[in-house]
Amino acid sequence: MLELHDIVLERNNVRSLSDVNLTVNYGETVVLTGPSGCGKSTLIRVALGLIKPKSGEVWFEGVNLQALSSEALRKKRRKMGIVFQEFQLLEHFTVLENVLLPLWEGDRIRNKAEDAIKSVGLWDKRFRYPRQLSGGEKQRVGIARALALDPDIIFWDEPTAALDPMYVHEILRIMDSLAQKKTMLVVTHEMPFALKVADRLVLMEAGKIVEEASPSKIFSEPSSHVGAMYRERLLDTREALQKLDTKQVV
Amino acid sequence: MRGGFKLDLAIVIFLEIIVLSAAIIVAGHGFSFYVQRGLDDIIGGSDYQVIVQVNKNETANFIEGLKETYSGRDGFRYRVSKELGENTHVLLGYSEQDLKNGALDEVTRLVSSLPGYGGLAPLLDPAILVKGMPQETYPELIEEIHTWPEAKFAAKGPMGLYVVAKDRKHLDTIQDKLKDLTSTYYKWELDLKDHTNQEAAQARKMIDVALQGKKYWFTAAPAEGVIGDAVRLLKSYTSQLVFESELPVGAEVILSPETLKTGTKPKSSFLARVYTDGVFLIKGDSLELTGSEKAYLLDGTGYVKKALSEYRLESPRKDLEIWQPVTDAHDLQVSIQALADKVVQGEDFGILVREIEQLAKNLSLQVPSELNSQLSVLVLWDRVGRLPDGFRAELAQKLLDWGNAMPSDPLLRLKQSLPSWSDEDIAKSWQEIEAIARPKTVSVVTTETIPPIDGVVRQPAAEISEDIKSQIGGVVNSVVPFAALTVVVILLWVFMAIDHSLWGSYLETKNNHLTPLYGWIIGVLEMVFVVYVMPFEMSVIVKLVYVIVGGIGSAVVITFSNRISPLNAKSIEAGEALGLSKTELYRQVIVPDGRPGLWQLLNRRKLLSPRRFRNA
Repeated sequence: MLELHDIVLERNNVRSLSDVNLTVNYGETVVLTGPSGCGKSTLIRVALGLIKPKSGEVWFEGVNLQALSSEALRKKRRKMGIVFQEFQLLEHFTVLENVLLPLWEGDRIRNKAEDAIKSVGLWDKRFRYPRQLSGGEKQRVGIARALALDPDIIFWDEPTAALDPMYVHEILRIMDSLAQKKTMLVVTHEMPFALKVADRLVLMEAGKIVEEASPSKIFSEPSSHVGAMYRERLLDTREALQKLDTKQVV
Repeated sequence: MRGGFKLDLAIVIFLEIIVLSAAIIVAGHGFSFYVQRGLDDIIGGSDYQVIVQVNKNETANFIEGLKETYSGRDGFRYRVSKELGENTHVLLGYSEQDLKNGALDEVTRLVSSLPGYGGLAPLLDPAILVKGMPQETYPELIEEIHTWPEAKFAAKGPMGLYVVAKDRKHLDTIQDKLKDLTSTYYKWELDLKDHTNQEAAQARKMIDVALQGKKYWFTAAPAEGVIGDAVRLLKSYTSQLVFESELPVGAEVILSPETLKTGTKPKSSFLARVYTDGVFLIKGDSLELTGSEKAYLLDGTGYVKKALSEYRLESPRKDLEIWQPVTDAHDLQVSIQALADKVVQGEDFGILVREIEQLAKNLSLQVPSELNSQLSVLVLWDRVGRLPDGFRAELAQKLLDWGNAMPSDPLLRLKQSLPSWSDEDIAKSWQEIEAIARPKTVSVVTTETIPPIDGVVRQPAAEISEDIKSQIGGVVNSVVPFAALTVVVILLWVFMAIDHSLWGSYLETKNNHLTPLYGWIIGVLEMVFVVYVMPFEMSVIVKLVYVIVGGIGSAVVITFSNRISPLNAKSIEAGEALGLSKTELYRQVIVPDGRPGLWQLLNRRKLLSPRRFRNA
């Protein structure tokens, strides 16, 4: 469905992506992770056609995005949904209007937006403005907005990174349920989520993909030091949980 | 979603042009009104032609008298203007017809008797002043000028003949026409060697002989007429010594109660000097003379030359207590009383009309033709017995009211002030004035082209130039379009800052280096429209400068777009990621995120609304 071939991106003579090759198949949930600044979010923007790479090709549903006119690219983008880390809602629009926005230049069918809002549990707050919502609610609006166009693929750019821990779970729960129905490319550091939901885990470091395999394989036999690092973190988490369980038993 | 970004931009530019055009008209007329009021206060203007100084404490009484004097005069207006020291300035304005009928000539006569009156000046803008033409030629000139479409009216003023233009732009045409009109009049000027009145009189006699049977008018220097009158008037109030024998002109005479010897240097408080028109007391006060003083003629060095025979003292100062003025104004009031009596007594209106005409003639006025025709109707009605009841009594009363409004004798004022002056004070005054008025040339205006006397210099009689007050008016008025255009340029920059800086800011986020060019083009485009529609005269170069300045300023404003209207890059990224077109990105994301302005106001109609969606 989505294929990135030999992507190279340079900004101000600094290479931020180097020969990246990545494929996301229909129905697949791919989790992309790596240290901060390794190029994960940039890769998503390249995949969306928001940033033009120096070289390489982005193919989506059999079409080379680089070969498209800006108008055709814009139309193609409507088949992709994105959920941002910092929500990026329009403050002058209500919840309903924010979710209606992607439909404004389309068929203008209101039900689509309303269904999306209902699916994230914000029906009662559809006339509120973003400033009247909590962080978790804002991100749910972001998800509803991404769902409104019923995209073929959803990109998630660290959707829980800007949230208080108390809201993280509800977002992960929604993502989990969507993963059953949608193709997703998720940038996240939530390793338990990756372990549970991802079909494939892709590890990046310094603009390169250093390891790519199923989560269980990476967490059991990591072939890169990034993979080993994440394995350590996961094991630490498990140990901590076990201690918590023991204390509860005592 | 009709139209795109370009249409939105075009509509915004169109509306901005409308607003800017309205602004220049409003600002222009606003400044014009403001400047005109200022001009009215300083130099009169198109609405007011006369400024009167009134004693501050008498302003209310003056206004009451003014209303009464001018009641029923169409187009007469007044405005109480500034207070300066102890005086209030009152502006008077007349209708065009009234001005043509000589309102400026009669104003002094009508208002000088009102309480608190302290002098007036005609103030005309825009006007051409013709100096040097004899007053006898004015009626003919005025008649011709009143046929010119460019001229509002022409009238006699203190400095000459004023020709007021309908519009400032007509001044040049009027000036040219006046040159043509007066081109047949020449001024002959003869220089005097000794600058004495006797020499001037001889020169005049010579010219009289040379121009016998021709058309000619002696002209006084501008000050000579007024100052000469003042000297004569003051001299007539100075005490004179009348001797039986003739004394040499310029000699001095001393009056002393003591007997003086020839060759001695006398000390006395009373000194007189011999002039061509009499021996006037120039030192001391006649009220202090006892009549027993003897007169002695002095030599040129101040010593007694000889004792003089008996003399007679004629002292107006001593006579002031019993002096009664007898003037034209007094005569006029007597005439009016007689006329009113005749009206009441049932005199035939035909005779009365002739008497009115005679009265007007005495006052150098002409009965207007409209009034003449009305009077003719009155004569007819009278003869067929159709005059309304009480008409004669009412008319008589009006005549008396008019007569009472006539100025009282100006000498009365002098009489009130003279008792505090000594003969010496009075003499000093006229001596000082006379020194200024001493003739340096004799000049005559004639239609003759060949000089009749050797040494005479010929030049055009009329000195035609824009009146100085009119020039001031021109300079001040020319500020108006500058001020209005400046307001518009600033408003344009405000539009650039609140409307166009959004787009500039967006372009900058896209690293588009043509952003200032965008600002410059819009600035120039809008200014070109504004200077095209502006209803004020201005040179093309100045207009061009404003267009360029408007454009450069717009470019500068746009250069700082990011500081003026910083955009939320994340909102834009969201809009782009959601697949919004450039137009909708601008309408839904950028404009609502910017500052409230014309574009944001227009954008409200284009903003996403749930009502515009339908259910599946």
